[in-house]
Amino acid sequence: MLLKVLNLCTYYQTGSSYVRAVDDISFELAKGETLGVVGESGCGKTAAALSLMRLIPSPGRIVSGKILFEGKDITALSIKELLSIRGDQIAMIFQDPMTALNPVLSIGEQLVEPFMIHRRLSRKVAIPLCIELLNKVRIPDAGSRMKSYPHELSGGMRQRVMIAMALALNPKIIIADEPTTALDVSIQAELLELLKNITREQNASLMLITHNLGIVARYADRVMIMYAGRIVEKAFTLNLYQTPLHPYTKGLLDSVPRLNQNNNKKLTPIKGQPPDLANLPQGCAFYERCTLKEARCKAKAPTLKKFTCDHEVACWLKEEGK
Amino acid sequence: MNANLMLKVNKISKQFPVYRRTVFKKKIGALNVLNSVSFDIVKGETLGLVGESGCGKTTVCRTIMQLEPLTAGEIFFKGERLSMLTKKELRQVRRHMQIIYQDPFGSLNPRMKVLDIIGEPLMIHKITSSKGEYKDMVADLMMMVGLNPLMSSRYPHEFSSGQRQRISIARAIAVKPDFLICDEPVSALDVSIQAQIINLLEEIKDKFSLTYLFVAHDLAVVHHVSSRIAVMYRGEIVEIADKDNLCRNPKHPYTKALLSAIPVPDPKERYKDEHALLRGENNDLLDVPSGCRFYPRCPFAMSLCYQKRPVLNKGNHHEHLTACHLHQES
Repeated sequence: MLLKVLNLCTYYQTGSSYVRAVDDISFELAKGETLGVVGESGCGKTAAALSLMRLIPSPGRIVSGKILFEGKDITALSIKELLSIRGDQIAMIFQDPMTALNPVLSIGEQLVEPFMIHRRLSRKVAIPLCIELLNKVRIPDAGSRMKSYPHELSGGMRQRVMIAMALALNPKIIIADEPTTALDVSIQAELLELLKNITREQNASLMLITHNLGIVARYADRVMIMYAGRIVEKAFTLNLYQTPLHPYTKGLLDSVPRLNQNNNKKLTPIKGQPPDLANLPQGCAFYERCTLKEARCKAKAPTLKKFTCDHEVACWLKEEGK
Repeated sequence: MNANLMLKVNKISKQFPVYRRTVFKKKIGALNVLNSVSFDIVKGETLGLVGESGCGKTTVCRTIMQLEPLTAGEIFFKGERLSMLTKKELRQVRRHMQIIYQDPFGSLNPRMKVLDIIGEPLMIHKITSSKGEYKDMVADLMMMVGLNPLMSSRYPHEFSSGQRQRISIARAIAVKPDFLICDEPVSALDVSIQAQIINLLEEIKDKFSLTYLFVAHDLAVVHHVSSRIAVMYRGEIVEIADKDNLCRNPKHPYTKALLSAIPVPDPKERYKDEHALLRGENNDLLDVPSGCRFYPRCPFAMSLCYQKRPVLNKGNHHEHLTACHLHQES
């Protein structure tokens, strides 16, 4: 297993209380696979991704748990060791390329950086490598684009640069945090197709974070659904969409309008709103919005358990293979 | 004119001048944001308007609301020509058409309490003058959109984005309009909240027998709420049809590409056909090709497309119209 996350907890301290952004999650990422992470805003998707890179901004911190990357615990590494992994072995693509790219440096300046820092190459040697990268992500006229600044590029082009930068050093894991949320559908499709092909070529693993159930259905091998900082369901993509077990997953799938369905019928949304992470109620976090709730759900929060051999769910109603 | 007609948009165009700022301001060109856009909306229907960002969807909404003067063309609302109205008359007309904006953060005044945000239109249009009645009416409106009336003394920042969009809806329906423009009302919301707001919009549509112009970039959402759909590309309507016709039997290559680009939430659809039909982007708005605007990205482009701009062929209200040389008999 390339990456193994064990009981990871990332909390943000606000005054005297904690916001449990990531609360006791465990998952694995195998070599070459694409793991989809789905959830609504504020459910801890991004916090989980940032934890893997140890990029959690203060006042947040990893409170407990282990992140084993090729056997090494990332949470226990020294800064020096960490820097040799970050960007080199594990790379990240952020949602908003306008804020992730440095506005006062040209694209070329930013692209040569990983080569110069991690591979100790000279600028002269690095530049042709960068142009090759830009060609790979289908940026037309790559040579002259190297001198452009981020504001001169369109949103799609900027995200291509981000992808190029993440792929620069052939990382083993690519974490894409909502890579196409800010883009139009036609560009989204092209970029995701590109990302899929390149990761496959390099045999890299992809952690694809999104709120779009369609994207996950198309690109992910396995999916995990997050809700209020926890993983509520984890399965192979096909299983998850065919037999969703958690009421939240079912609710999500029923909430999306579909083109192929006869839609004079109404959507069935999930009632209410996601809970406040700073004061989560006791018991299941989905209790208030759940249609199948029972007394025991309020008493104690369910943990993620195996339902079938490769389908895990955190719900009291789906215990013991019922 | 057809008495059932709510809105008639007739060949509207909008140009924004482009200046170069040196010592003197110098006009160097014009951005054709809308180019001869025409459509009708009859009473009780929902027309969906889809397109990529920057294609002019929002400008259409703003010109209908008369927030933006037109360069050419006419807009008729219930038979009245909007550009001919005086300010006073316009205020009267605006009571019958309202708009809901995309961004639930930017569209609500952060310094006003919800009570006054929702109630302001009631005051402006002098629907009520007594304090008590005013509060009751706002409370009714809040109940109608699924908000607790006890929250009326709070400020917008205390609400989630879904609740804020409910406030916008309450404010829009406060004056009991006939026509509501929804400019990307759900694109900033989470999936589960998005479905709530779509259902709410459908409910109030039935309740007040409203007519909608529903703008969004998500074709699946538009298909769900609309009866007819118009597809825009770079300031032009390239296809307009009944929603099922458009989605099952798209004619324009751009519509086809849009449909194929939508990720379907079903893993079994994964291997069906090619997903990314479109290459390139429509980045430079100033550099418009002389022929068909979609020509540089079109997989079926012919030499005719480069020379001659296709126009939306004429037809009556319910016909499937498209602006493409592949589908035009001449």
